[in-house]
Amino acid sequence: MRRSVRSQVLVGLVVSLGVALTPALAASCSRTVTLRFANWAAAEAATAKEVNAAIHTFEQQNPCIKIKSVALPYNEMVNQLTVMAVGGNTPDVMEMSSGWPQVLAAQGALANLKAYAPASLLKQNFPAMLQDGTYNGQLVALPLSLTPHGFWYNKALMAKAGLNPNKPPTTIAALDHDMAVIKSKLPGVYPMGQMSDKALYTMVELWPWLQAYCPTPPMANNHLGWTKACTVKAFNWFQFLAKSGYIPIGNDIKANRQLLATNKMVFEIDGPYLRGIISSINPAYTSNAAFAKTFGVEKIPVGPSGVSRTAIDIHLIGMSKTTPHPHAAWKFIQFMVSSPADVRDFLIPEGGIPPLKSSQAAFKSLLNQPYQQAWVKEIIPEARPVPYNAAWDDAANYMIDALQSVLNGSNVKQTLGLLEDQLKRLYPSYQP
Amino acid sequence: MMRERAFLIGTIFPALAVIGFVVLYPLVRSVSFSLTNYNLIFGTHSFDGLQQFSSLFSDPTFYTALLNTLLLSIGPMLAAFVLGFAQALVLNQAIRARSFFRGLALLPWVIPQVVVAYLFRFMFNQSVGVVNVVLKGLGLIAHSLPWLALPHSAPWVVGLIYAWNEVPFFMLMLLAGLQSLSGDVLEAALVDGATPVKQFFYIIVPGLRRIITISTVLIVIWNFNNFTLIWPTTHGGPVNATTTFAVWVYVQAFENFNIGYAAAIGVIWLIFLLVLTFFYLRAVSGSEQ
Repeated sequence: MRRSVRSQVLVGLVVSLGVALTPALAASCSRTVTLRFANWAAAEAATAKEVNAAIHTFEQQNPCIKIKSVALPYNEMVNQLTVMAVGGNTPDVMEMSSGWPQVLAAQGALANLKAYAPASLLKQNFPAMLQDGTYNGQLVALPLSLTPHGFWYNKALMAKAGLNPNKPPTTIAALDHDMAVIKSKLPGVYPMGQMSDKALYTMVELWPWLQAYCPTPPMANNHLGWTKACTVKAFNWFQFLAKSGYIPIGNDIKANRQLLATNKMVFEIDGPYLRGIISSINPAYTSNAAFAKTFGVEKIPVGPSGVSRTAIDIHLIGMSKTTPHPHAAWKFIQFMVSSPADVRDFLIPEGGIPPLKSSQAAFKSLLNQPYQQAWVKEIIPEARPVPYNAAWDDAANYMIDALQSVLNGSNVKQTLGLLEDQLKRLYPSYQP
Repeated sequence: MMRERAFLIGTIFPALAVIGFVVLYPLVRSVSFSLTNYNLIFGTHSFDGLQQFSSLFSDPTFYTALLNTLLLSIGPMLAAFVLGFAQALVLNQAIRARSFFRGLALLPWVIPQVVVAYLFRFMFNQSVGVVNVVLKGLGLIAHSLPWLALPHSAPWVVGLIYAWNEVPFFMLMLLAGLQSLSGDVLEAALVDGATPVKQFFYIIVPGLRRIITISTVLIVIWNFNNFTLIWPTTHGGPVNATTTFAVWVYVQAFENFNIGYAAAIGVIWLIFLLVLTFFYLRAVSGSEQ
């Protein structure tokens, strides 16, 4: 009798254990795949927590896939990825900034995502943003976070200068007028910031202005276009800004952000993440109310080209062409660009705008700040790609030299003529 | 005899192997790269003869970089030498708190070069730099100037940074030399009525000739190779005004991934360095004799 009770208890225990373990056993994998995900988000204190949380959520949802985050500093990342690609050691998935997909795709390091991405997903993207991840007709990267540049302005300083803080300049003529007023009324304050240090990012800040002057900016459609009348006009304007003392010369982006955050600069073009950067520099702007009271953002002022355009400078995500686990890698990419958990926990807190129109609609309540609304409604639809290509880094060095020469007073036409000659050597097939 | 020879070869071989691996192999590889169109981005890597050198000599940046390299190697060295010598002469005297001042004078030498570069970058910043504040306060300039963004001032500022960083080296070397000079000779000269200027030019300088040669050639070589002081301050700009061979090789190799071209620059750079090294070795061997 006692024996029978014991056996019954034992059977009961085994059954209970079996029931308890069933979901775990169902979720267990015959083989776990590990993907290396190279990204700069994990290398930055401000975003490491968010990206790691997103990775954790993905791993929970996909127990057969483990993500090994490879944190690389932003400034070094494209170089590191290039070296990794040459060494045949490309990470399975990688976060990229605009321009990088073209450099890496030229080495044959990136997979064509058209083979994986369903039409329904592509349809939710902005066509111009998809173009930013395209190389020779292949979709080598998908937009991850939309961060094109907008025209930021400091309302408090505008009011102090006697300008209407609710009417930021919407044309270059109005901008010139406002800068003259600021210069005369607010000594020690720079009317505007324009990067001109020898960093590739300088070109990202320069491009919206070239788009404001030229309907088709230089380097587009296999044309150099540096000696065109509209390009010359744009550079004449840069020289005018420098001569008039409207912009500090030689500043990098960090120096300009510092000046803007400490009320020593009125206008600056920058991405939506500037909101977080300003409050990290100046804690007085931590609250949304305080920030919105002092800072506003608009689309880029319209120039002679007649339209407001901004350069696409976004974050993208791509897959290695040689990854042994393309399906797992695609699953992760899809999660990063479209999963509600990732949009909520990583993309929006990171300071960007989610890439899919459906995500922007679904998370309207988290994108309700005035600056975010400006991006969703005005800036993103006007963004157009910079004509990046494999030789862009080399070319950009010459372009920055030309900009620095012009800011230092050199003859604009001659300088641009020299630039055109230099670039002709890099792009022999391009037309003038 | 044979055994002794085998032993000698056996003991020298590991060192030779290491030198071969870390010096000779990269050297030969660099020269071989310079004869190719090796480019990491475009994936080209085939023999190109002397094409890279031909492109190099027709590139205006080459001559700018060469001139900048020479000027930034020699100019700051001369300034640092004069100041370092003056410091050494002062600190060789029996002044109060001499040890303290000797330690203090070494400070620029012990600060890491990257830190020095950033310190100067902030000091010369147009918006918040102390240099502009002081010069404006003294009425020497009307508006703050972007010193490191102007092609005519940036090389001077970089030269100043080099010189500031190198003064302690000259001070140290020359002070050691001064202390090894025979006091009797100086005393005899004093008794014979030699003025301090005559003592300096006829006794001190000739006595320190070897040290002066070695330390100046060493500093020129170091300046020739310097990257750490330029890159954080100007990145070689504005408009290549501070681009030296070191900066240019970095840009070509690690930003443009144009390895063949970078290697060609490196080969020309190496030839200049070999000439300098020849003078250095001659000075050292002369000093040993």
